[in-house]
Amino acid sequence: MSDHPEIDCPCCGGKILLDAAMLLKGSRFSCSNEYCDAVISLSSESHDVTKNALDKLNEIKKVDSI
Amino acid sequence: MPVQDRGLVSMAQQFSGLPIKSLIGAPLLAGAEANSKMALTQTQFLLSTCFTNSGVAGTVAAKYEPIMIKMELTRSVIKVDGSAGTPVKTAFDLPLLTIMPLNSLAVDNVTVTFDMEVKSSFSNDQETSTESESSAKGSFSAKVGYGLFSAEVSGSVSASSKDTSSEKSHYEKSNSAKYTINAHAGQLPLPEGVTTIIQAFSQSIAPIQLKAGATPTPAPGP
Repeated sequence: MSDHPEIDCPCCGGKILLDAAMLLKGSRFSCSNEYCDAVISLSSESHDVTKNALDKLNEIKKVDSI
Repeated sequence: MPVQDRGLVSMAQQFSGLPIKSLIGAPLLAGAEANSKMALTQTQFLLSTCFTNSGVAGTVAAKYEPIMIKMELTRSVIKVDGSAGTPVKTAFDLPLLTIMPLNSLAVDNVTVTFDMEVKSSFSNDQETSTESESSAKGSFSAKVGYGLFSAEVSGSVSASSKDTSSEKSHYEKSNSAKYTINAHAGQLPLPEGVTTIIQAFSQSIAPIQLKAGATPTPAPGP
């Protein structure tokens, strides 16, 4: 549950660096290998689920900061 | 001179009344309580956001199932003639739990510093000085006459005295105490099991290479 996990690229074995929060908001992340064009992203059909989760997470952060 | 307790302060007596258990124990208990509250909040968030509950929440009948999100892996295709083909999209599911940016925060360091200083000092400066000064002076003259009598008598006496005495006394007691608590909350490392699960998911993204003549085996149902 780190903010910046990395996964192995299924195409070339390189590293795909992810920002979990940005990924959940719909950002796309590509493989760090310049010769590989693999791109990973959140499917549009899951946007509502992740938006709901992020909104709840932000509510918790607001309560904690008070 | 006022009556004072001029005995030096007993150090053991000063420290024996200190609530050492409370001074040390209270911050540690507060840290543990904060950890418990943070863990409870995070657990409740994960259960309510990253799982669906098909049973009754909070009971043994509760049945939590992870909410899955769909991810897409897009790869470009280059045709034999070198032209760009339609990108290939591979969809796979991930548990929302594994990708939520929820930090495992906890109080990982509590430092209690207690400094106490007891000062006791007594000094008595006594200074006595006596100064005595006396002086005497006298003179006398007489004159006597006969026939038409005449007499004259004159005298003078002088004396002075001076005494000085002083005493200084100084008594001082002071206590000072400083109580400092430093608590630091940091992100806990992921448990080994969670790391293994995430690694397994990332590896499962890779396409399965079938050997010639082999047929894909369907995944077992839930």
